[in-house]
Amino acid sequence: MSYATTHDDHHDHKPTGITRWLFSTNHKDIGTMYLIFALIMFFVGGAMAMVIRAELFQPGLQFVDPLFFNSMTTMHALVMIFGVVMPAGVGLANWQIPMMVGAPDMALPRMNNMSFWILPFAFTLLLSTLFMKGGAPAGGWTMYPPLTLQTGDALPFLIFAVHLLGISSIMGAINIIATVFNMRAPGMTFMRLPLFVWTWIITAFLLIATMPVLAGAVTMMLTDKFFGTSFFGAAGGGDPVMFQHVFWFFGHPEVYILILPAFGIVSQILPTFARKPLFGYESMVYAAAAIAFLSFFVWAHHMFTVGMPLAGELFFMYATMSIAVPTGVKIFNWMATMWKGSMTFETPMLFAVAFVMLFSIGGFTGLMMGITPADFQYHDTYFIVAHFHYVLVTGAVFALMAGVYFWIPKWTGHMYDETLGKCHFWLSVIFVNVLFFPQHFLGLAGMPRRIPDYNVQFADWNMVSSVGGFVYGFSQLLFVYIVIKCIRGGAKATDQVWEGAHGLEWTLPSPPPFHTFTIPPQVTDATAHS
Amino acid sequence: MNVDKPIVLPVGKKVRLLTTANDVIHAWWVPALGWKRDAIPGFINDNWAIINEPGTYRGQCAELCGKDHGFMPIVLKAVPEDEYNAWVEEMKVAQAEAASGADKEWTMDELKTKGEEIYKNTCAVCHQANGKGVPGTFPALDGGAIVNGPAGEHVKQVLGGKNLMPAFAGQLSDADIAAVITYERNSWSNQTGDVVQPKDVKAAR
Ligand code: HEC
Repeated sequence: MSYATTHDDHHDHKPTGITRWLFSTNHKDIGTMYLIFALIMFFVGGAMAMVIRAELFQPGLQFVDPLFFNSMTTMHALVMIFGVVMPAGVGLANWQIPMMVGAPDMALPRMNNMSFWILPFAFTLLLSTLFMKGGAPAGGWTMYPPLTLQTGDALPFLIFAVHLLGISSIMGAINIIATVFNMRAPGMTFMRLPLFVWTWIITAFLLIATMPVLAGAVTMMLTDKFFGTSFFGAAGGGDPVMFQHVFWFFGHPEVYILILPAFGIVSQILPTFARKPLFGYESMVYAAAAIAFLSFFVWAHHMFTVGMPLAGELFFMYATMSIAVPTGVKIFNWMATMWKGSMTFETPMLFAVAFVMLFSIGGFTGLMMGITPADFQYHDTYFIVAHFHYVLVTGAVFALMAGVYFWIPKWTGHMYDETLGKCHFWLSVIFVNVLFFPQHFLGLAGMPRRIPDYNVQFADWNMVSSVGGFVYGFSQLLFVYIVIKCIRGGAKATDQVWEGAHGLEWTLPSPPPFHTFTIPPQVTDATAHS
Repeated sequence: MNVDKPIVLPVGKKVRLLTTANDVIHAWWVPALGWKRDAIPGFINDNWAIINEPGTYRGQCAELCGKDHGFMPIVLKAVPEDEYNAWVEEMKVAQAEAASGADKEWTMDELKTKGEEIYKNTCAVCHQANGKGVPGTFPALDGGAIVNGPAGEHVKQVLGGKNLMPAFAGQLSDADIAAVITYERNSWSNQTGDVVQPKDVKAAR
């Protein structure tokens, strides 16, 4: 077991001023920066969603022209995926993983600094395209050529932004793997790791495996546009469908990159508030690994309608459905964890329970679309929009919110305002369903996605969905208020914070000193998480 | 939403539908037929259907294809077989006429009448019916430099496209392009007096 050597830091001294943040190598500060960045981007992407829902409030073109509408759908997705869910996940990992495994910091602190500071630059590139000739990218976040090749000045900015985001993610992933593999405290065996750490290791491997694939795909697009190659241009003997294969070979593991850390968070919260150990710890680990492994063999279910051989359609259909097995294991284990527990419903628990239920709805609609012939109808309709918002908003985002409520007392040393937290939860959970549930009906009735105007038969449910969207969107401001209020003060949090909390991070003071576990703790079965 | 030329198909018969595209990827989707299939440049996809009930079936493009993706309707008319056969005959005659039109010399008036129709259907979405375009995005053709410059450049632009302007070589016939160009060069404030013939377009291809 490796003992980390550190200078003996007796006083809790931190650098001050702007350099504390610019040159930070401290996992807690970098985690905070990631989380704040994600929160800001949440509102940037959310504002774009508001434009979309305002335009779709009624049939006809009201507010924006169709090209700008397409830019909004494209940018909303890119911002929410790469600017919100991924950085927020990394932020939580930065804060929690060293404390959970008993390490003084991340293994590669300078790289940690760089992987964060790349993000503002990448998003400056990406968001600056909104003001460019020809507009921001409008070909969808999936960037299919040939359409995306028609992007104006924004195209190289989009591509370089994707490159930077990929580099940042890979560095973050390497860091997490290096930390967990080398810096665990004595006695912290792999099978004693908290599940959040496990899901993050698996996510990190997915990132390393797939981000270069995305980088390759967009680089080929770059050379197609500027250097006369024809990887994806049919006129030059290229293959536009090849882009989709390469993109989704990245894209499907990517959706598990977004959701696996969420699984980890929920697996920490449910046992805490059910006051029971996580049911089936080992099967949870193996299920997460199985989901990640299978994610490499299902990509073509995103593109059943391109026309592929029957054998291919069958293979990808059955491979897709097989993912429901490990996912089902997780859902049943979560339910079994709660079963006969002495549960209390503080805000993190509310979000986590909502996650289990609403993510399952998203999972089921996913299964429906995995059936090839059914997908021939559902594909590219609002049904898929409803599906991925259930897994990404009520799934990933709810879990991230749950994680923040769960750990913020530890980070700040103050309890957040429970009443306001509950208000935030109920507003969110009600209106997110008003927002997304009707989109199932719209999709089944035949409304295609990515259109700024629609047939009047879709008018009613679109209006309902928009109302839900506005209330859900604005109620997130409450979250900002709660977080700020909690940072500035509040009831003093105990070290353990939650009565049922177990694990190394809860043995530290709240808030933890700037440097923690400079002397590694000894972990035994009794002090381990599960 | 409606279309200028609905697809006509016979009922009670297995019909095979081939899809492909010229510019970007689209997806052909009529929900009542039970499937959608992408139309991809460089690919020919096929699928089939048996339509039992005569009538009008509607659908629309399902793959993001640009700013007008939301405005790309599909209308399919299923008719009894004899009606279908009559329609095929009609189309054959029309095609033969169009083919002969490619060689003949057209008069200015003939070209302008045909050209106006094509302009409205194909070009006006961007350049607007009054030829004023959309400032900043789509240039005005009324008084435009290329429209009032040498005819050869004008033909080249429409055949080959430029930046956001799509290429029309694959979508419009020689006669269509000759007509729309003649129309543009002699409408609004443009008074070049030029007559572009289908054979000129053919030569420029
Ligand atoms: C999708 C929108 C779109 C459609 C449809 C379209 N154009 Fe254009 N057109 C453009 C754009 C954009 C330009 C400017 C291209 C550039 O120089 O970057 C342009 C430029 C032109 C010009 C040159 C104008 C000048 O003086 O610079 C001509 C001529 C022209 N178009 C003719 C046509 C004709 C004829 C049609 C119909 C057959 C047509 N366009 C359909 C978008 C369109």
